[in-house]
Amino acid sequence: MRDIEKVIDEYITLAIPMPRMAAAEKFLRGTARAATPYIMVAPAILTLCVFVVYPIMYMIWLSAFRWDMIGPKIYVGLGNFIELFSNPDFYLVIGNTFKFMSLSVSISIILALFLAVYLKANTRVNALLQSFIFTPYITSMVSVAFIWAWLMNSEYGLLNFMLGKAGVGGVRWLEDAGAAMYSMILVAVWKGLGYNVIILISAMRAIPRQLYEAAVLDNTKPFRTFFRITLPMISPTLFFLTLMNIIAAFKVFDQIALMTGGGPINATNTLVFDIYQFGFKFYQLGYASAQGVVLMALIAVCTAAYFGALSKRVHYGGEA
Amino acid sequence: MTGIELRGVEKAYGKNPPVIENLDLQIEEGSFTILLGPSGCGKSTILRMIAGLERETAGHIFINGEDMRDVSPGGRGIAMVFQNYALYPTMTVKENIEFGLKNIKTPKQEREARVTEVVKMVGLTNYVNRKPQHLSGGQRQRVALARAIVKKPKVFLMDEPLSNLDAKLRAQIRTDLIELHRNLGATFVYVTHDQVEAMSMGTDIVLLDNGRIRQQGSPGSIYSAPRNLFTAQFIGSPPMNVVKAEDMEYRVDHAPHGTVSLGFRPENAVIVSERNPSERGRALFRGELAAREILGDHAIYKFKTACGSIRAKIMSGSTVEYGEWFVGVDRKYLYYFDEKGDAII
Repeated sequence: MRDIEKVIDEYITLAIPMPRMAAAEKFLRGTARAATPYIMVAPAILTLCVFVVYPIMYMIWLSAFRWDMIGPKIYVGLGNFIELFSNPDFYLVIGNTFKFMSLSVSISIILALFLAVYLKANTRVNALLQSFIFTPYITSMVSVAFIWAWLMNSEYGLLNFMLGKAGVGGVRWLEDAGAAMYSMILVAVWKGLGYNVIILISAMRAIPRQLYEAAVLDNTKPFRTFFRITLPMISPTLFFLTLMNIIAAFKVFDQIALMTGGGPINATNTLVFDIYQFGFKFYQLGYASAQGVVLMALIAVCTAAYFGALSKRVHYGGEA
Repeated sequence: MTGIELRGVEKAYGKNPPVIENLDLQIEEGSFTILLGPSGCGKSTILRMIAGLERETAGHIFINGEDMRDVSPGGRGIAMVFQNYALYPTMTVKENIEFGLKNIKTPKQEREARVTEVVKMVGLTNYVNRKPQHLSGGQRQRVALARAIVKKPKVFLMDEPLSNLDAKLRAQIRTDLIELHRNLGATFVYVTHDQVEAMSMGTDIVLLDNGRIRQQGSPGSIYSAPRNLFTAQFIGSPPMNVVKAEDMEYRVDHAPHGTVSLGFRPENAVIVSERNPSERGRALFRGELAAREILGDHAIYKFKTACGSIRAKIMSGSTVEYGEWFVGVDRKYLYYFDEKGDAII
């Protein structure tokens, strides 16, 4: 027993020879120990700073200048913002963004809820349907955009061909200023739906079966069961999913760029696409940065409002 | 007939062989009937079929003489208490209790009155606005009971409702349930694998094994007149000692014809230091004391004998020291079983 303790003691002294250290060495050791956690997280923090924090700061700084990427930066103060808010096109773009966000998210979530209720039963057919519905989500946006642009082509597209066969006149899906935004929403919902369905199905499957049995014994009608049991039980998932959908919809870019280029006459021009245009087509980087600041503020405000309005109604906590 | 009756009930899952086959069972109105058996014996399945949560593959279930085949679980006049309570986690205690009443559109005034009464009955008046996650296990259990009681059902179905509680609380709720049964006068059907719960609460015990009824009767008759080895060894704590007659060192000369094994309850055994040849009416075993459990008012001794382990439960007196002893049983306490394990009476 004694021997073992001695050996352990020696081992510890070897590993951390604190008592025998000189004061300076002791100080260094102490500092090293205190610094260890910071060194551990440094790579992640550094990456975050270089690729997230610095660009944001730079964007905010740049929004106070006029710059065409080649010439000198000219300080204009809030000039870019004044120009921005006095430009009627900007309000159109903001409106488009909100229209796209609110419609695509609400349609997608509600549709996903219906489908999840229908597909949650674990059968072979459902597994197949789930993978079908999930496929668009993992398909590259470029392919999706081209396929849909072809389907929606007003002259030789499949959709108008079928409408024609059904005796209905064709729709100028992407060329009509009134229809183009809805076409964008349709494609966005089609692409993102599968993900929402899968997440909601897994949340629904986690609800204990006994709750539904208790509900049946309590004479609960199916609709009421959905609204009083299923919906509250999946509320944390639903809350998170909706938030992610909102943020993603705010940032829509590739789909617009590939399918309409913001047209016709700005009908599908959304904030991120507009930023891209001003920044890298018109080389007005200061103006684009000001738009970026507005986008950031919008997302922050929307997220905060969403949290404030709904987070209290979300059921967290264990099952009972 | 009133009460619950199962006639030729069969239950099979998918294409597997049935877990319950041709089961006939009568549960009397107003009884506290316990479905008792080891896990996998089909007791919960029977309960769930009575509730309508599972459909019988063949046969009929009658409640108060009415065929339940096409009656939904909610329409059967029953209430069920689940093992894990199955409270709605997103609702408060009050909402949990009144949910069923709201669903059948009970007028608000009556609903309030009934909820208040029930909440008082189970002692949860101060907790009505809490969510289940902020309640202890025992309180959740009482919410589950209240949710059942408030519906005023003719039949209460309970699926191991005490198994998630600690021993002390279990003993307390056991007596609460007995009182509740007496006060309500409803039929209780209670599933458990715990023979203590069965013996203490039941007015009628249905002992099941592999989907078949092994014996049905009052706790007293099941204890004192087991009809087969399964019953004999399932009931009693510790269970009945069973030995092969041919292994016995000292033969019992009065055993009836066809006896293959003998049984006796540990509480009927006596421990003696010497063999007294004049005592002819007694079965005797020579054995080495292998373990002893001193439990205060009684002690349980385990002996190793020529015919296997034997337990003796001695109610008091001085502690028996380790060593060689004789275990004796009066012939009036002996049970005889034939080749198939059925009791010879």
